[in-house]
Amino acid sequence: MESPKGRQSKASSTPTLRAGDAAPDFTLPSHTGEDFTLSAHRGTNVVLAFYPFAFTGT
Amino acid sequence: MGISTDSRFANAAWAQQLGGITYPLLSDYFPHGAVAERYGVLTPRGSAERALFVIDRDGIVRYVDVHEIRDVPDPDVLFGELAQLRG
Repeated sequence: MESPKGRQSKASSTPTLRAGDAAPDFTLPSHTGEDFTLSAHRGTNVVLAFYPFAFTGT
Repeated sequence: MGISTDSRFANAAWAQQLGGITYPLLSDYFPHGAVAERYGVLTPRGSAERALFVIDRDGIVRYVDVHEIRDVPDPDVLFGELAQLRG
């Protein structure tokens, strides 16, 4: 299967990030109530999986 | 990490229904969709696209995969990208 690497979001009003871009830092609350800050995880690889809504598959 | 524009409480309920989950589900709920917007995957309906970003240990995006909303990404493709980063 060919990987759709780098496809742009057709619906977003801002361009989708591309490989090579710096990942914007953020802090968000997790489902367990703790905050997650991306920049606190430098030194490890991180997978961000955006999904439309809870209960719709992972 | 999973990210959606759901509230933390919806994600907690979903995690419970899944029988527990080993990684955090993050709520991009307020300001609504702000992180999805910065990554370029916020839809006009206020939800996130189904999209994967691999961020390396220096904070650089190494892999982007935006899927149709009904498509579930192929985990083997993702694992291949991660194996390359580790190599």
